[in-house]
Amino acid sequence: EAVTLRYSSWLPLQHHMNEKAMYPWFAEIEEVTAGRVKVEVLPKVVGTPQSQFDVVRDGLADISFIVAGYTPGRFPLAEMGELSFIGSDPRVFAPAFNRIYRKHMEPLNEFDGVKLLTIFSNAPGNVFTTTKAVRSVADMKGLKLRSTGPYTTDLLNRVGAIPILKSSTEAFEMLSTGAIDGSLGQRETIANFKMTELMGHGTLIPGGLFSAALGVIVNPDAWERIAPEDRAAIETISHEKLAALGGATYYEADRQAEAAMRVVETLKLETADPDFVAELRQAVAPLEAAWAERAKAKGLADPLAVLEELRSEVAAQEAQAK
Amino acid sequence: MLKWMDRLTGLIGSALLFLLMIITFIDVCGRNLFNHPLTGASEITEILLACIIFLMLPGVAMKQLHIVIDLIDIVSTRAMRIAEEIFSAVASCSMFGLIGWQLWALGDKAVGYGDATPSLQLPLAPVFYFIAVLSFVNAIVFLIALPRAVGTPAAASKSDSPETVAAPEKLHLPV
Amino acid sequence: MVAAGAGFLLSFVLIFLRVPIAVALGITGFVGFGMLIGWKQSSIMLALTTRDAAMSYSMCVIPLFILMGNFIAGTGVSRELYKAAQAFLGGRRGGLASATVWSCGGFAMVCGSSVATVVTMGKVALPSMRSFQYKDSLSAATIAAGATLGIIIPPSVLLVIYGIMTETHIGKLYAAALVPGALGILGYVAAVKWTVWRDPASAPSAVKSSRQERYEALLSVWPVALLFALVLGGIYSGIFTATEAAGIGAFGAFCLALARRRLTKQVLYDILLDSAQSTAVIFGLMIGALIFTEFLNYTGAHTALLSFVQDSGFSPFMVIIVICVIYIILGALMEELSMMLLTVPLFFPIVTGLGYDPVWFGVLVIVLCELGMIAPPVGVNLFVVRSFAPDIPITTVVRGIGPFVAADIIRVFVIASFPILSLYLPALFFD
Ligand code: NA
Ligand code: NA
Repeated sequence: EAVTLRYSSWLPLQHHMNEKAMYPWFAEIEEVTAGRVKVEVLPKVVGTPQSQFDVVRDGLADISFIVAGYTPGRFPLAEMGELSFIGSDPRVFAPAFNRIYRKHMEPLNEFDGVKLLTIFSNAPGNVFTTTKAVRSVADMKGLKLRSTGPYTTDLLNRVGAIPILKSSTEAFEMLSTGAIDGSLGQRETIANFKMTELMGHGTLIPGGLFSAALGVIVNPDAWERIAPEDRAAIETISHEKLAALGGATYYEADRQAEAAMRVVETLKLETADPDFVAELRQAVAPLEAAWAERAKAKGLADPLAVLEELRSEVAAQEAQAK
Repeated sequence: MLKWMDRLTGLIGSALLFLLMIITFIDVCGRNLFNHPLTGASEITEILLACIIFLMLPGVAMKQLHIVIDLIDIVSTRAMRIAEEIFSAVASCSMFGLIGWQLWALGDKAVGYGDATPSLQLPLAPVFYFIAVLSFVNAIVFLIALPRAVGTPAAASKSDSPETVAAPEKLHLPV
Repeated sequence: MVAAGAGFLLSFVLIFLRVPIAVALGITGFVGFGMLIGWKQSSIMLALTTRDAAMSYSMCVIPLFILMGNFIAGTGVSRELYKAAQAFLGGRRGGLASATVWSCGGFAMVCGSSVATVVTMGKVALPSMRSFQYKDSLSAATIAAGATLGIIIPPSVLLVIYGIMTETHIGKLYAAALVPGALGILGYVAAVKWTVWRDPASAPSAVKSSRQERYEALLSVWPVALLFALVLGGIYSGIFTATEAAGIGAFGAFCLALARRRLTKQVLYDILLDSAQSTAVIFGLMIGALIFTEFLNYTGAHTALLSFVQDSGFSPFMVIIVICVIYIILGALMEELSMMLLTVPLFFPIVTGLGYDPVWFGVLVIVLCELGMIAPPVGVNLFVVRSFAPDIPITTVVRGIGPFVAADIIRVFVIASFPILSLYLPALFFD
């Protein structure tokens, strides 16, 4: 008989991640299982964005996606996807991160309690400011910038900026009146929160200053209810394929956001020069070391080597794509 | 013992509320005047809020301040009124008992994951255990308050005149 | 859909069996979720929902605004507000009642709760009107109605809760509520005039004031004006967010009470304790309602109702009228915060699905709550008046409330028909 999985989404139901990645993937699930597995989209999120892992583990909903940074410390391995300078093109680094994660980290079972169907990092993060152009680490000193998660908070502290931990709507209010000086964010996120018009400068960081690691998870009992051959069929369209789909929607959203930004005359976009990038690399090195410690504690033998493997794989493919 | 506990939780809850106000004030002033917001202000706020709520809940149950609709007396006999009170106390006790039990389990899970707040790294498990215990206390208070509830004039079916609807102590309405 | 209907039915039965509303909603949500999803999941859901509601940064705005209102009530500015309004309006027949409405409006600018407004303004206005031989029916009804301005004129605890529940911009809600709040003052003053015209004996005498007295009385209300400007000005200039504004407002009111030497240790403790208790009562309700909402999410009621509405051939405005009628009936039978927590999760998706503005709907809901607070049989404010004037029979209060209820019904209709009244200011301030 048919199994129906109930999907809880903390993003708005019309968000591009839902419309361009999740819903098409749900349709594909139904197709590859010949209708034996269906996904029902719930009208509202079950619980809160931060509680999605608990919600799925305990079966309050069957399927959802989580952001590693929302529960700091729980998923140290997945946090690799949130680090700096992973890559510039989500179409490349999203599936690449998935491959590396599965190869080295999935066996360590940090998502114990749920079935992980994919994990990927979404889009490269940049620096957006209202008035002051950011061209060096010195420029960031003393700026009040909205932080998006624990990693970016550490990063901002590291470079002498002042991390502001407020929700996007609160940040919008504070930006619109100059109470804060800017926000870290992906192009897509800045556009989504309608902050484009508020910004005077955007410094795009080649390789991305940070990212968000998203995981799609399923309740294990619900997963067991699905026939083995259907589970296998779903797995073939998940993992790297779903990561690539997610990466592609974020790439497209980022591209559209940038096009919209270029039209706004008051917003100047520039790309960080190699000196600035070098400064930033130096600044984040201790953060990477700290991450490596946490990952080691979780059982990963040589985290920095894994990170290097990811970076070189992404770099090679991005070069090839050009 | 009960009175003593009520005073203690009331005192701590009030102090924490004052602290909540001060923290918000310092955070805003720090950010705007000294370019230095209070580190971890929002996470302290969240913990304080949970503690205030659960510290006050037993007292609220004891003094019967929860909002109850005393619309009409569908039942007018004293026996029925007492049955209502018993039913209501048992329902309330079960709900908060269940919440307490599951909050405790949440505390166990938080220990397992090492859950902590993002900037100050305050462990979350003690908070969950604390509010779980208070939730149990709250559940028990509903039963302890039962004789008092049954004995109040409101319960004693003086219901024919509409004026008894408004027992002043039930008017602790917050909005 | 059937499940949702059964859920609403069960919760109403429990509520009218005098189970605390918080528990009635929570138990119904627990049972419903348990039957649809599973009992183990349902018990975990209770704790997750409780944790997420109690440990939420955005919700700390609630205790802080309550605290601000209670500090303000402790400062004694209610007396000055009333004196100022009386100096300007007291000269006409029924002027003290009009002055009561205006001073309630003024107090509402610094207090987010209607009940606190009844108690604080009532203690000042009622003895004064009585000493001038106003009929109790007019005085008590004026106080009960005027105090509902506390939840429409910003700051407002109910608007904040609506904003948090529906993720609607709180600054915009505040801006949107200003015109409907002003309309409320005008409506209640009209209700006073109508009452006095019908029954001149209800307000037999008048108090004349000199120009000098008026000037001095107006000057004395500066603390209220300052605090209002601080809170709303801070939000609109972006110096702080609506959440932070609550903390700043509370601190400002605390300083004001200190400066006026009103705060003995005991008074401070009473204010804090009272605010903390109110906080627990509100969060008890919110936790219950959120548990109920988790159950509602699984019933498919939202989609079913929306498609029913779309297929029924009702015009969107007719849907709004139906919703208003439901609120008027519920408002007469229920306490308003509970009503809002119970119904908004169901109506909000429908209303926004029909293309209406969430900010406008929020203001409409609050005006409907104002109406519910003075609508018998369960009009909260009618009872609260009696908490400090127990000698006034409830029937007397109810006798005077008619014109005020009528004014509110007209206001509901005006705000529903002309969204521009609510939406002009938020667009001006924020877009
Ligand atoms: Na107000
Ligand atoms: Na009512």
